[in-house]
Amino acid sequence: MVVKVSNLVKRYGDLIALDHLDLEVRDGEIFGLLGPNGSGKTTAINCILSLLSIDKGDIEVFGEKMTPSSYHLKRDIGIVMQNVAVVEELNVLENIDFFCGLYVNDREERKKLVDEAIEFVGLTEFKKFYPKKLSGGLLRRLNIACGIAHKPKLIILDEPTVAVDPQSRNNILEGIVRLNQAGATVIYTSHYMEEVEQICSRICILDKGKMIAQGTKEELKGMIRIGEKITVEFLSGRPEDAVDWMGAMPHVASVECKENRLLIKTEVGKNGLEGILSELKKRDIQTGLIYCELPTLNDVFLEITGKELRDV
Amino acid sequence: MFWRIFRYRLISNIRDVGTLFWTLVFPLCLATFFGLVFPNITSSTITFETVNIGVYEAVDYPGDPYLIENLKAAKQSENVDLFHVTQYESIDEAEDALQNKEISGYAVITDQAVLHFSGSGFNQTIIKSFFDQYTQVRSAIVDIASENPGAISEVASLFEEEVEYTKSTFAGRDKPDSILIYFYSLIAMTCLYGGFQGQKEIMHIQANQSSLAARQNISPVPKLKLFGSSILSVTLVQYLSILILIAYLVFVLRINIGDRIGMILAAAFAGCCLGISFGALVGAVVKGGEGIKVAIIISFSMILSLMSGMMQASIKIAVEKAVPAFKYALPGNLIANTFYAIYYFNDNERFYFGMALMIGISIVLYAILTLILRRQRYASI
Amino acid sequence: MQVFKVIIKTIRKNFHVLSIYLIVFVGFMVLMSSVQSSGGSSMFSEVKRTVMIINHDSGNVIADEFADFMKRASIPIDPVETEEEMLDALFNEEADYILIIPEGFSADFLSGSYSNALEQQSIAGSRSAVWTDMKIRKYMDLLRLYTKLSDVDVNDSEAIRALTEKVEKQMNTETVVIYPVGVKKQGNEFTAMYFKFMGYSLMAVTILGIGFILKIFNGRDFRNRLRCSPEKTSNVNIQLVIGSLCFAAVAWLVLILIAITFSYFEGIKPWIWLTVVNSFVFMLSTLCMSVVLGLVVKGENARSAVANVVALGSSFLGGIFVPQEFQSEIVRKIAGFLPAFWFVKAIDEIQGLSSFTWNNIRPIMMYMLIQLIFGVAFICVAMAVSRERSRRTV
Ligand SMILES: Nc1ncnc2c1ncn2[C@@H]1O[C@H](COP(=O)(O)OP(=O)(O)OP(=O)(O)O)[C@@H](O)[C@H]1O
Ligand SMILES: [Mg+2]
Repeated sequence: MVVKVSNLVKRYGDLIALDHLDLEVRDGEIFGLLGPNGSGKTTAINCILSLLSIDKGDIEVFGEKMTPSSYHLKRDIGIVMQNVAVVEELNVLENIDFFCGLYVNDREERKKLVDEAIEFVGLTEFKKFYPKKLSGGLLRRLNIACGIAHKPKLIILDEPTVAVDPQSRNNILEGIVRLNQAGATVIYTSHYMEEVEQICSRICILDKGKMIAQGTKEELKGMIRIGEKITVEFLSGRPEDAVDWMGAMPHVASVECKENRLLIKTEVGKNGLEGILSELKKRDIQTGLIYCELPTLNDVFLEITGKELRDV
Repeated sequence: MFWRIFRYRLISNIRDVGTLFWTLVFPLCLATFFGLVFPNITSSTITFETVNIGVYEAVDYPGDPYLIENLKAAKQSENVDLFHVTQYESIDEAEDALQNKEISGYAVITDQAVLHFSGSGFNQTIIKSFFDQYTQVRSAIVDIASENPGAISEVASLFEEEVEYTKSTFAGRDKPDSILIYFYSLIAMTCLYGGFQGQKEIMHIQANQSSLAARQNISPVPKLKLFGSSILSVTLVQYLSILILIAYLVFVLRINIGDRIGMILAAAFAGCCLGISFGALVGAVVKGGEGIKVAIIISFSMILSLMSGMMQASIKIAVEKAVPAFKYALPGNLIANTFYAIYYFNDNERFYFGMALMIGISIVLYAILTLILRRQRYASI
Repeated sequence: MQVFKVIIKTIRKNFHVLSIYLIVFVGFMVLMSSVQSSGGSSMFSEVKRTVMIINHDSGNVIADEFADFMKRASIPIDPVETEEEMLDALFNEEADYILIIPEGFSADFLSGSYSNALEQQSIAGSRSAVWTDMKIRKYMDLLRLYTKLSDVDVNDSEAIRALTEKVEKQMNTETVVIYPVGVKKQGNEFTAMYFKFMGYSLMAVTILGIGFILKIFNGRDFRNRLRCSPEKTSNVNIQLVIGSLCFAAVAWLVLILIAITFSYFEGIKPWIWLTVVNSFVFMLSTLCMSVVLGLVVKGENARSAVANVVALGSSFLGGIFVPQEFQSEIVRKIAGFLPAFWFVKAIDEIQGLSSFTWNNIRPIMMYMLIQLIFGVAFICVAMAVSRERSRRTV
């Protein structure tokens, strides 16, 4: 167990930012912390890192209680904070060296690590740039490099890819996976579920400071009744009329109508598409576009909280 | 670790042009203004210069043959004559010279001397004083002769010897010069502006003040180590700024602030620590954003500089007269007075007292800061 | 009205920065009103120096009479106790000269040892020292003359007193001075000082405030958004001008009210209103200057830097802090390029007014006009700059 949080409560005045939160991050996994804005992800991380005082609960890192002066623990943690934290007056190279230098004393080793980190985030051309002169995305990448340069055993990334273009984002995500394969445990925070789905082995979903689900993505999706999401475009007939009989079909969990489309969710484990198609044919309904999706974490979130994760 | 952080903080501080403007460039600008404005500001400290005087002797009156001789012979000191005498052939000539400001006044000597001036000032006062004395002594001799005619023969011998009635017991190290108040005050302001540097460093250390600080708090470097190396680097930068200012005053503007270099360096250092620790404390204690803190530091330094005489030397004098404790209780005055003591007093008591206070206050402020910084978790960041 | 509202909001947001200068201004007022000043005179008058007389030989006729004479001849300063205080007094120019009459001085003098009999502390070679030395010599020479040449009994204090009286009598003989009778300045220095210092605060506040306003309105985003909004550009510009003017006028009003309040304790003279007009004119020219600076200088830090350097620089060079008469010719020539210089010159002139005749007021009008011309010149520069800007950015 790399991180173990139990029963964590954190209040900001009257606002309960974390409400009896339990987390377990196991060795060698990429742990995703997913939640809409203001759900308490950053707060949770800051509590784990002992930056914030907590009202209740226990936090263990690497099996030891985490305190502000647990320097031997901090040595093995790398952090990429949500707000860019770099020194304005130092250039890219110096910034990375500075932060790496907080962990690594040996000069030779540090030089190697810094070069690797620059390579990793693809800032080789910008070595001599000052943060002010970097674009938003490049700055984010510098922020990441500063956090991971010292090859920590536990890497915490708080929305590291905000404002980073898709290609670089993929590079970073791949990099994170590589770091993970090299032995680092990763805690990854984001409200992009695609990212989380893509790389995380286990995910925790937060909402309003409460953990609403935790597990592998299969487990999470298993928690809800939806197996597939099928969208059918009607070319003839009114989709509204179809809602009733469609809902009455076996395995169909819910039916919803949007303009000339019908959104059908089927139950887990059953392949409902075939039945639906034959039924449509039977009723002589001409259909246009039909497609079938697997449920996403958004559906999980929607199912549990009744609201969309996307548009909070 | 300590020295690496120190090095990087040093680099950052040197590159932080915005802060350096206030702690270095701005004082240099002010020093330049002072240098331009102050060379001849007060009249009483102005060195005496030989007074140009014109004399017209009425032709029909032989006059006192010794008067002009005496005028010419009068001395302010061994090498400086009191008067430079020009004799004119007519009153008109003398009047022209007066109007053209070639002479400060002229004397028309008939049976008595009449002085013509075009204004009342120091030179005129000196001229009049001389003639007053001359007439008074003559009239006294006449007076004495009327009572004791035999005594007249002694008069000449009496005035043979130039008697120096006074001896100087001036015990200052160097010439009093109230202009220096402005420059001391400027040094004090520069020291106090070190507060910006102190505040900045605290902002980089207190996790609830900047994300950079939060980030560093998560690293395995103890906070006090971070604090120590940051403060050390910023102290070095600020100390250099103050030394540059002092060098500028001494070597470019040619201000004499005394020759006890060791003491000047020490006082500059103590003042530097005082300013930085003050700003750091403001940074750590005051709630609110950076803007508020900077505003507080500026207001304080401005008011304290004002009190130490930066805009009017008389303000410093009045303030210290009203409340003598302010000489040492107001940080600006404390710094200014320590420099003043170096320049002016042979007795080093004042200097040591000022130094002890500055260092003592800095230590207390740093002690308070250390206590505040020991808190490592924040209710919110 | 939208633009106007934004201006008010901007100023309110940055009020804490502006209030610093208000605090400094009030601080200056409070401090200055506790400082003494000396008035002018209208006859030929001897320049007098401040002398601190410390008589350790009091009770003896010669010492007492001499001390009395020196007190009358100079501006006497209350004696202080310690050596340190004496040094302070000299340094601070509270006393130009410290004269110490040592114990036994009278007896020594009568016994014929006068050489170095008195102690003094002064700035060697300074005018004050020369002046005071002359005064001392004058008295001592006469006294010596009388004591030497009239045989008096050293122990007969009555006889000695008679001698000192003779000396005093001789001292009243004065040389005739012919001196042109001119109009002499009668002023209220404090009020003038308040109004001058107001110039400093006004400059600092206006440059900063206009900087804040222009920063927002010159930001490219804001400009472009305004262009797309239904408000006409000319309309926006007019609001901008009126807004800036209002801001400067409010700052001016606040400062002028403070200055008048403090002057109230000094007694308000009729000429004060001319000073108010003068400061209003100065506000206009400062406003124009601020616009130029606001357009040229970029960045928060740079702006406040420039505001301080320009305000303090103008104040020192223009004569707000240090009287113009003390400045060297060159500095005065340089300072002529600053509106502050003419602002101060006008105040000096107004303060010296003996009557409000056209002839007297004309130079003051000239000085105000010069300030206005500066303003117009600044406006021209501002327009040129902003035209250049807009050509480049769109
Ligand atoms: N310093 C603070 N003081 C008071 N409330 C705060 C503070 N920081 C955060 N909060 C509140 O706590 C809640 C959780 O905030 P947090 O920053 O942890 O959210 P988050 O999940 O990281 O959101 P995001 O995705 O936007 O980063 C929010 O409602 C926020 O408003
Ligand atoms: Mg967050």
